[in-house]
Amino acid sequence: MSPRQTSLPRTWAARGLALALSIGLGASAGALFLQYGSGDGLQAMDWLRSGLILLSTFWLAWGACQGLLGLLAWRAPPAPADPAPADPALADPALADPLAEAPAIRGRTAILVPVYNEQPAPVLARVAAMDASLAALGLTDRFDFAILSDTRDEEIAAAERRWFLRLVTERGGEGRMFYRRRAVNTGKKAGNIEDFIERSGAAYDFALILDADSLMEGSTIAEMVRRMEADPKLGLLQSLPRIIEAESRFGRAMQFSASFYSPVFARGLAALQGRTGPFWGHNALVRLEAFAQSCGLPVLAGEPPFGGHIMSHDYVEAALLARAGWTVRVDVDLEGSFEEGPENIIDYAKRDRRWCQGNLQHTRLLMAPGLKPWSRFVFVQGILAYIAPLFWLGFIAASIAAIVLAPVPDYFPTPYDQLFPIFPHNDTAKAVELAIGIFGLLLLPKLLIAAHAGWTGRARGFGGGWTALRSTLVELLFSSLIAPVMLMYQTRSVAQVLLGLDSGWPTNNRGDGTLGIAEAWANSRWIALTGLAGLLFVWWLTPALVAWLLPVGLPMLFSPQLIAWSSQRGGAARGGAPRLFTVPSDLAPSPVILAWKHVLASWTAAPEGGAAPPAEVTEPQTAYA
Amino acid sequence: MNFVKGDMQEQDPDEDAGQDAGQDADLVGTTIGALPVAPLAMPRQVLERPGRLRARLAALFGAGIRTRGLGN
Repeated sequence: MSPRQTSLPRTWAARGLALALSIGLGASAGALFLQYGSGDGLQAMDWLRSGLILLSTFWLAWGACQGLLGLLAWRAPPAPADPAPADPALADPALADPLAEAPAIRGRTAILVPVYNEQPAPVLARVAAMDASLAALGLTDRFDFAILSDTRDEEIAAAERRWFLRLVTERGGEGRMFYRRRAVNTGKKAGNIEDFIERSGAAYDFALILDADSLMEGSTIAEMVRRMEADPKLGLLQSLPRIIEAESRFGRAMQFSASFYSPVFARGLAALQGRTGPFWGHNALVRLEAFAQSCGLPVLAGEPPFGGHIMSHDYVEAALLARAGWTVRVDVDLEGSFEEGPENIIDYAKRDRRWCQGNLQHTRLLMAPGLKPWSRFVFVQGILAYIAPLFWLGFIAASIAAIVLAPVPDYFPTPYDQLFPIFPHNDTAKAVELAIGIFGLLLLPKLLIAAHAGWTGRARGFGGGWTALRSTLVELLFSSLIAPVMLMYQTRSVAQVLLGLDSGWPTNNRGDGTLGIAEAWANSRWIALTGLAGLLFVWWLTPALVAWLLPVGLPMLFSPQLIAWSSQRGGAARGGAPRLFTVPSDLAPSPVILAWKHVLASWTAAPEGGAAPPAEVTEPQTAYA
Repeated sequence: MNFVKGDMQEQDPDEDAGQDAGQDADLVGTTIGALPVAPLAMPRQVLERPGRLRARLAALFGAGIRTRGLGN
């Protein structure tokens, strides 16, 4: 099922099915726990834990439903990546058939590259690669690039200007490549985009909003514009960016996850969202008329974190477009859209802190007038993404408290009418059933995706069926290991937001994110000490319970080691076997990725100021035409 | 800073001080290349009605008090 063909009744049917299934599974889990807890009579703690299990299971089931819907809606991608094709251009679906008739592009598009204290050379080399990719299609006259700098560091800003001039010189970009640095970065990224639209928006029909680490094939950009032109009600078209260039163990696991599972989950999401789709803030095309008309963001009353500028602006902009009657869509079939991800857990947690604040700020907008019901539900989902892990933490805490508060067993409830003691009935089997069910919800979607990939041949792009399965199993183990560490970071983030602490706007740390044990310890000692204190406390309370808490306590205790180890580069594969967490971009990098690397290598090899002659940047031919 | 191409020029906010652009130039900051001057308005959207319930209750009670004050 293509997102473009999603009809309203079908969307509502998918929503109803997924919600009913999730609520049903959540309620069943809650009821099962109550049965288990009723062995020695139902106490308040049993009701509390049952409620927490219900909510957690609902949330897990909701995620699982998206995966299952994604598998049901799956259609084979146009061209599965073939290991090491003779011509890299063949990896690009739009270039694979150069004779294919494509409608001419009529509108003008501004490609917006917001930057904030980034290393300028890699960012502008990406622009050069994308421009070359568009030039190969003969489309440069339809696209302008605008580098929208909010950089606060004067040295970086000076470097941005120097590298920009080199970009313009090399690409002949005069009159179609622009650089603007704001003196005051009001409204952060949303304000940066808004400033461009308010000054220059009427000169363009569309804007492709990117991040500093975004990279897109020219053919993908062109296809997005064509789809936008074909549907006058389409206000925003989101692509699904794949993570590239990951090197660390953590980064590669994330990269694999984003490449292997995300397209399936995104298809499920697309089936549920219908015309009220997502905006993830970058690698998306907007219709400027619609965006300007609907997405002028107000400043919320009060101080951050709940007031002030809207941080997670993308979700809100998607909701506002839908409110104004525009279609917002994610087209998962679009290939050739890339971004980079954090290379270690600390950088991930920093980014997550910002997202947490942004999502919790949406509590202010849940009742915003005129929003589509699904947009409100998306806000709830975003909030739950950060609150739901707390349910598990609450469950663990309540389980420990339940031991302390447990009543003394009464073996003779009716002492004058019974000869023999009545023992509390043992319902451990129900607890085991519940645990199996919950683990099933956690593991099943990913295992089904692996099986599906093997069955359909999609696994070839991930190093073959065996490597894809191995990567899936290791990813499951790894994500289970780091889950308690993430839980602690998320708990701290939520607590900080609720206490009114603002995260500010830290620069994303891109590139090599290797961490030593000292740095990891400095950033996670509070987790290790909390884990140690928790285990000692439970051991003092009930030694038998310690074994049950080890899966959570041990990763916390060894979080510094885990963080440092996962930030290192993994070893190479043995005997020519595909590397663990192989993704299609390892085997057959998209031409625009090759072009970017080539440009960056040529730029950083030569002195910064000296413009390299164009003849030096002609390889690879297919990409850098 | 040297620019090798025709109309590519840098506008520094400090250099613009006191000119007509004045405050606007401060907001624009630094530009290289002539970005099209084609404004597109982005009207502020209504996302919340601050204290809606409180305001309504206050209005209701306020109306009552005012009415009583008039001797009705």
